[in-house]
Amino acid sequence: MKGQNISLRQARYHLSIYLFLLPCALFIGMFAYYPAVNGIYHSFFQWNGGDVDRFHGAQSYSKLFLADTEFWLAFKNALILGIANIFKMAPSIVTAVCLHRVRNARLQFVYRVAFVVPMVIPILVTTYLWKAIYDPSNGALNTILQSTGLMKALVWISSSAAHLSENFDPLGFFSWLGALFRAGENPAWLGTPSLAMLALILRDFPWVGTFGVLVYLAVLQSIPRDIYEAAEVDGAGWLSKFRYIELPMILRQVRIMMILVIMGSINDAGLVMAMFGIEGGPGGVVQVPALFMYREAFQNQNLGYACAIGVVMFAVILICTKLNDWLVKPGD
Amino acid sequence: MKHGTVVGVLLFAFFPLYMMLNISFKSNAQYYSNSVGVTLPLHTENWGRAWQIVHEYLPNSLLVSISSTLLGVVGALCGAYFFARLRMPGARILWALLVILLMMPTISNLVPLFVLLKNLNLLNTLTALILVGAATMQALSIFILRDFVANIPNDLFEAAEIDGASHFQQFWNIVVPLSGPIAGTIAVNGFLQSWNEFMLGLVVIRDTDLWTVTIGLLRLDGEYLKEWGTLMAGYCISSIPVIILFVFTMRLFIRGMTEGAVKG
Repeated sequence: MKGQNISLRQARYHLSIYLFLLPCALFIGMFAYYPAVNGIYHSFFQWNGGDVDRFHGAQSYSKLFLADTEFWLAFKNALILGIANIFKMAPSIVTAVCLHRVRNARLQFVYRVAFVVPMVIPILVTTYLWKAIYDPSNGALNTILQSTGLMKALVWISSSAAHLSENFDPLGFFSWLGALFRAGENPAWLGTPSLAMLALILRDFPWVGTFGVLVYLAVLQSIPRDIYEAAEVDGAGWLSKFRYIELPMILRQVRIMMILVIMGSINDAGLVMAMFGIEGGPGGVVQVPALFMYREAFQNQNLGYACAIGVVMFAVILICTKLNDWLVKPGD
Repeated sequence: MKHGTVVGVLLFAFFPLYMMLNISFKSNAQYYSNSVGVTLPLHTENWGRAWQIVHEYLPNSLLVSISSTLLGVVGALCGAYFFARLRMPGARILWALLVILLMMPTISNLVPLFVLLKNLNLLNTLTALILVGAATMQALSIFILRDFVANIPNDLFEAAEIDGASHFQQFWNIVVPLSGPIAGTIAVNGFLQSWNEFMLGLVVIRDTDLWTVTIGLLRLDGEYLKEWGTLMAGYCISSIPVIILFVFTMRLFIRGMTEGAVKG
């Protein structure tokens, strides 16, 4: 913050500046803080939004921690998704590096504009597009797999894994793999419990989020020319340039994004709901915490319980943020 | 090789877009026989039908997104001025509160927010979406804008103060003109977020003619079982306003990026 004017006495002359706080204070106070506090309050009640408003102490919390394993499963899912999302940042990085290295400025401009175009499509639309791609009978994925013969390859991998799992099965991986694809049938990517998570992770292939590319590109562009030239003088090849110049800067960015990405997958209900419906997939297998809360609140009418869920989610986020600080600090 | 990678990635990135356009011209029969390739004749009536469905949602979306973005940017800019210009007593605590706000998952507020809106008689209105949208974009926007205002050279403010300018005059004549590009970027971001948002609307709005485009899409998905062509045309149409927005604000982004190109 700008170092100026801390004293109460001097503040008298600048009282009008408090007025500037008014609009945002109103907005945030009413629509963010009040609901938050209200939520904590109501988490100790049994509430259905209208007439039933009975105080019943920490019952919601005990139910959450002891009885509802579904909730913690949802967190596991969110963690898996979050980690997958982190790995999905890699293609953006690679593409950003390639873009950055393009010598011809005009061509680079054309590429950049081209990258903006797919970014423009609203998230829900891409979600539904991928839902269509995953459609078992007509979706592009199965059609392409079948016509290129990749389907046969996948089936072969599956059956070999099934055979292998009879003798050697670390962590049940091979039997999982073995059950994935069977000969002659079109896998229902969104309908099969074992495939659903995979489908969710694999969506948006090739995982080049154009926004990510542009951010990484900006990071790369900020590297001064001289470093490159110095490196070339020292005889650095293509790979060394990447490892020693570009990678550290990018990794800094990645470290900052890491926890944010995981937090994002905990908080978002819309994506999963749009793709799999409010149940969170076949057998609730891809459920995420936010979706669980949404369902409890608006389908099962357990508003008090949902508030408790919200509080727990907030607590988890706080822990994540602390972790993030701890991760980002050293080395920065 | 770098060109190969970039072009390859672009091809994959464009595939869903291609698919969307392609299928939007197919009849169901064409879709079932060949979903990936281009089939003739092109069924343009799909677009007509999609327009019928989507066109009543478009004004709602536009109203909500534009209003909440405007309110949000104004509120955030004022708030940023407060935090960046002078370190007033109490500002520290308020800033800490703001930072906590950044961490709050907005979704866990959904339940009490719903009841609050009910008590304010704002259920089933677009106003609710506008106000909450503006509130949601405050935290991050103030964060970013505060850095910006703090970077405006202090001499400008001091000179104005010496000339007897009030805080409002300083804000209006110094901060507002300079904040163009960055406020623009935040506005575009806020607009996109508001356009893409549907959770609150799903819960709050019951009149189907008040639905925004995004919520309407959700319903389309369940209901149109399954006119693929019309569905895809509907998706295209709901993407068009955003595309137009980008075409006009492209200069904002490209400028920020081409500057880098000249340097590197």
